[in-house]
Amino acid sequence: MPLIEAKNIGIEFPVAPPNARSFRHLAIKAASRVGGRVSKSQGAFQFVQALDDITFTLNRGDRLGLVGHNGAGKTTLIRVLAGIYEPTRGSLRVVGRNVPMFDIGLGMDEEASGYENIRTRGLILGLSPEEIEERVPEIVEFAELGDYLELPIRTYSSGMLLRLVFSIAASIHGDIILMDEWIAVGDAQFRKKTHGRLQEITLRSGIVVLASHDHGLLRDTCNLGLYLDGGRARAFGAIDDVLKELPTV
Amino acid sequence: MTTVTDGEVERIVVADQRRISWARCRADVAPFLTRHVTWRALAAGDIRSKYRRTLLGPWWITATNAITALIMGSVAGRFLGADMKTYLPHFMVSMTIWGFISSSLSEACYTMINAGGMIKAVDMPILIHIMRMVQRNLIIFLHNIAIIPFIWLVYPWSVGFGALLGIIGLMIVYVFVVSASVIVSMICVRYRDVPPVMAAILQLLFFISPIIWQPSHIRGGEFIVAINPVAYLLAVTRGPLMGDIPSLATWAGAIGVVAALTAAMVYIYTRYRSRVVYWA
Repeated sequence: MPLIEAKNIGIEFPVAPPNARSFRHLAIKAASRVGGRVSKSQGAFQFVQALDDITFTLNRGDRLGLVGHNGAGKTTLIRVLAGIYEPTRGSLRVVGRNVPMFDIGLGMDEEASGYENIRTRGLILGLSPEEIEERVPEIVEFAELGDYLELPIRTYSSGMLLRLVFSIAASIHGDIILMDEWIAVGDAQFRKKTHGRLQEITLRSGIVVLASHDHGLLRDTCNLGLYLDGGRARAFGAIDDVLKELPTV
Repeated sequence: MTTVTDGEVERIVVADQRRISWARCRADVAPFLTRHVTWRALAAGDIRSKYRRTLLGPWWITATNAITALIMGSVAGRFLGADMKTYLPHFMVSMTIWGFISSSLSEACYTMINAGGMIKAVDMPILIHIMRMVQRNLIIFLHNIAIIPFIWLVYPWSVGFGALLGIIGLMIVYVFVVSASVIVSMICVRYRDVPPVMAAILQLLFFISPIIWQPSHIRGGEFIVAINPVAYLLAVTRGPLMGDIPSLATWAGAIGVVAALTAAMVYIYTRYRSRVVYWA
């Protein structure tokens, strides 16, 4: 039974000014303290409150749309749910397997063939070699890259690379889909295909969390909405109600 | 903390970073075993990728090591005036073991820094990045070691069953390298001044360890060997392989150093693991 239970989640990012990581600066700071000069707080860690007191529960069948301005905390929240950032406040309980549908192209090796990259990417996503082999035919069929999969991926066009990357990401099975913006890749025909596939995945899975600026898409895909503003929850509830809260352009 | 019951994954994270329990340590260090397929396969891919489109592939590592042996044996030997029959095997075995330690530790400085993008994008225990790096260096080490039997053929020394103890020695060295790499990489990702300092420390360790010189050569300063952890690691690996079974005190020294380092690693890793994503 997939479940996400977020209680008073807060994330404080330490932001190191360029100097804070340097020993020389620490030494100068220490020395100047001895000499009685107080170095201005320059060089100290500053904190950015990326998320503040976020509480919600998602059960099977819930599709949550995250809305808010750039820098409101949407991506941070998605990464918290994915287990990348550990909350610095509050607690999080996630039951079910995550399917991360963001930053889907990382860890690829330019020199390696398409097939080898399918395996590398699968390993990074936590699949066993057997699980990867099971998925290879499906990925190959979806990507429609044919013999190109034997060639190093540096020979691919950017559209072809995105086809491969998307096909790998879409082959992962899980209960919780985490998506930072709806993915649209490739030419018109492939775009239609990815759209269909994403809809299928979101319908099949237990819980979906989707950050997007596309209101139409959010209305079609989600039943719940969370409006983030400066890391705080401004509104949470039915997606239509939440979208009404957003300032109109 | 992640638990898996009946195929259902449950992950509970409570923001309470100061509390360190045995359960947390175990859960954090577990990927070493549970994900060993991942880091081993990724490392093998790295090596394949590095030697792609080359004639010898990873055997280039062996070949370059053979060239080093040839140069040391034919040219340097004349300058040093050393007895090549004992010096060359000593130097090559020591250098191979030291190579594994030093290349792992110098790569560890940049492992987390370079993996920053991935750490922020994929929910993968960061220990896997370190294990991948160490495994890569272990593969290189195993290729390097392939030259030793050939040196033995040219300058034979007596090898008995005691050499099998060298395998235990190598396991101790492996644990040392893993623990030290985790600590070094976590310090380096936080304090970006440490990598060059680390390079200097490795240089120092190279000269104060019995690699280019033999313990029997030194006159005075024996205490440096007695307090140098690398000397112990070399003694429990090179010693048995070359028919010089180390004393119990030497074994105790090597195991003690590694146990202390591993305990420190587990503490540091459990305490700061979740902060690395913010530092990277």
